[in-house]
Amino acid sequence: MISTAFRFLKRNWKEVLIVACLLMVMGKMRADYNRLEEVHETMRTSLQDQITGLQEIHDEELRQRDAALRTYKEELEKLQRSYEVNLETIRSERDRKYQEYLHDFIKDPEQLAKDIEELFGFEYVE
Amino acid sequence: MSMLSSLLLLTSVALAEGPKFSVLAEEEPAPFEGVLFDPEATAILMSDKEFWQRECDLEIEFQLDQQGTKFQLEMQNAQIRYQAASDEAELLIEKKDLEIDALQETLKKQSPRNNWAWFAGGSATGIVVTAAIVNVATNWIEASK
Repeated sequence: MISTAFRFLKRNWKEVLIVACLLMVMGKMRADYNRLEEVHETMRTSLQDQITGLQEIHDEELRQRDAALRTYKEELEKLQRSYEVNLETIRSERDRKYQEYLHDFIKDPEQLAKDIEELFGFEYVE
Repeated sequence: MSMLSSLLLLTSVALAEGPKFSVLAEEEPAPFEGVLFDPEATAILMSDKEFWQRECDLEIEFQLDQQGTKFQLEMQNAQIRYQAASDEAELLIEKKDLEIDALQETLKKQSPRNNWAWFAGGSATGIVVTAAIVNVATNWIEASK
């Protein structure tokens, strides 16, 4: 059996060599393809990780922006309320003072004259 | 003409004396010429004079606080964007480094260590196979004839 195979090889070594080389080239191509697939998979995984990471960062950024905007709106509302309260206080004080001056005009003209002097710096003439 | 001159003279005298006022009862003669306000108008003028400054200060404070809050928000947003951009850059660098390592590993597997030996072996094999193919083809052609 071995001698038959040996004789066959001796007679057809060139053909056998060609076939062997072809098989080697095919094997090499297959290995290259596998490596290429491996590279592709590595890059795909890396890109997938990048996308996931970027998405997480983006979500966190949006969350923080929303929180900042909420704080800003609350702060504005607080300012508005405080402004309105203070304005109302000033207006009621002004109304009170208006009534006081009106009262002074009738009841206490001397005090009114003093107040005008203090407020405007005008000289009072009898 | 003489009236105008005397009016100007009176005005300049009045201005030189400084502003003055008087409190009058009804029908009482005025000690000088001027504008007469009734008690309500006087009270409005006095109370407004006393409080306009406070109202103005309050308005300024309110506007400044609003602008300050807005600026605070803009600064916070800028900080958040900066932090996010920094995190993004860090992540990309980290992932790219890992990718490079993995690709280098694959490349190492692909490339043989002793390149010259492979080159020599490949060349020799190529020559032998080419010669064999030529020989086989020639034989086949001759046999077919």
